[in-house]
Amino acid sequence: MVTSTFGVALGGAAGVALGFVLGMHLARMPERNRVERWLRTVVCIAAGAPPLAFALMMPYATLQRAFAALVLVFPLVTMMAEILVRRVPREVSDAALALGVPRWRALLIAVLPCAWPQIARGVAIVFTVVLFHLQGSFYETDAGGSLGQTTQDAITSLRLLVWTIASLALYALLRPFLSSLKLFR
Amino acid sequence: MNDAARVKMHARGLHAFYGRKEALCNVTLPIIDKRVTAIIGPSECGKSTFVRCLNRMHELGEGASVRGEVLLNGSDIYASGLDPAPLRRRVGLIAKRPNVFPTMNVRENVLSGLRLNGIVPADSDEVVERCLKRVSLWIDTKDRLLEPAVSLSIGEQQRLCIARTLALEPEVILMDEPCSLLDPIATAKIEDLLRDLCDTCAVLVVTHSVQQAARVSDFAAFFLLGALVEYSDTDTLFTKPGDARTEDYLTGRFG
Ligand SMILES: Nc1ncnc2c1ncn2[C@@H]1O[C@H](COP(=O)(O)OP(=O)(O)O)[C@@H](O)[C@H]1O
Ligand SMILES: [Mg+2]
Repeated sequence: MVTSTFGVALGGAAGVALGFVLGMHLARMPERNRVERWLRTVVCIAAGAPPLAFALMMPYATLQRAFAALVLVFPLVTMMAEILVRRVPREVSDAALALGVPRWRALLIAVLPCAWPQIARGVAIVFTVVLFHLQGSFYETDAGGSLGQTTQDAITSLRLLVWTIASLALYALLRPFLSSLKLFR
Repeated sequence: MNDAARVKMHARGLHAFYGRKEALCNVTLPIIDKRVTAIIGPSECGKSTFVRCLNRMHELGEGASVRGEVLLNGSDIYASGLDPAPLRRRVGLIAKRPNVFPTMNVRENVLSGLRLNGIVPADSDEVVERCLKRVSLWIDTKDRLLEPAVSLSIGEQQRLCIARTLALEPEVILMDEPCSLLDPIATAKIEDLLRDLCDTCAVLVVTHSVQQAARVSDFAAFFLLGALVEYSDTDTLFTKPGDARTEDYLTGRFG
């Protein structure tokens, strides 16, 4: 119990770090670059897929939970960090760039501080929800047992798989609408 | 006076583009050291684009590009392989809307150009005091140095932006309509400051006010539709314009 909570926390922290780095990268690049568009799609798919599907690949319950936490956290943090950083008025980065500050530095030490409060709040919420979610109800076989040992677990996995496919399909359908909202792209 | 010998910056055959759209067409304009040069012209004629080309801010826009050359002390700032960041420290740009850093206090804003570039001044207090005095902001703000910069009035914020640029000791200062959002008193303070600044650098100021250009500048240029129509010393441009379009603009027939 304690180790798996620790695992979830660790996985979540790794997810925050990964999401943060990806979010900063996406915010720094022009919105319509090819690689970045591809990366955004991957992030959206990861956000739409239940982490359990990914976690199935892991051998130990603690690892499963940690990995599930990572997969659950990083896309949310990526999207949130990018959007919040892009929302900082352009004047801030212009001011820094006009003072001869290199681009990445301008982003990290002039623009980012303006978005910190919101990012921190968002990360806190994501983290709490994920920790809570993965702690209790996700799967009960804690004593080293892996998923699919019981029929019930198999059914749960199957249901989650269906959900994954359904959410991907929904995402594909909604994509034109979402991109007109300028949230993803 | 021998002005030709003191050309600080020289745009030569400069073209600027937004994607396919040409916003500046073949502009050739010198900027004389220790003097104020004014650019006038109706809106959308490429004034902002021009000043942003002079410190390589233009190219940061998506799809924006530049052709031609801009000499600073005789060497081309668009030479290939040249890093634009150090150049921007030598050629400061003051925006139309004061853009103090909202997360920093007054003092940090003055030092921001140095700090963000990783430069640690030997005596920060001295830098803060000197730069704020230079923009006549010291007396008003010396007891408020630790307050957020956004708590200053908009005119004070604009002068703080100038102080922040001065901390980097630029050779040229570009101002894009620095007074367009200010009231007459704050405007007068900036105009006084312009005369002061050219003790140490070349100053280029864009203005939509013909009167302001006449008051503050030594040289003046008139832009129209992305092209330079006329450039001469301010007296000549305002009393005996060489081009009919300049005269029409100055007498208020358009724009
Ligand atoms: N980001 C931009 N993208 C496309 N066109 C632009 C952009 N900024 C300015 N322009 C165009 O370039 C021309 C010159 O604009 P600008 O330099 O801002 O003029 P001014 O400062 O004299 O009002 C205008 O026709 C304007 O529409
Ligand atoms: Mg303009």
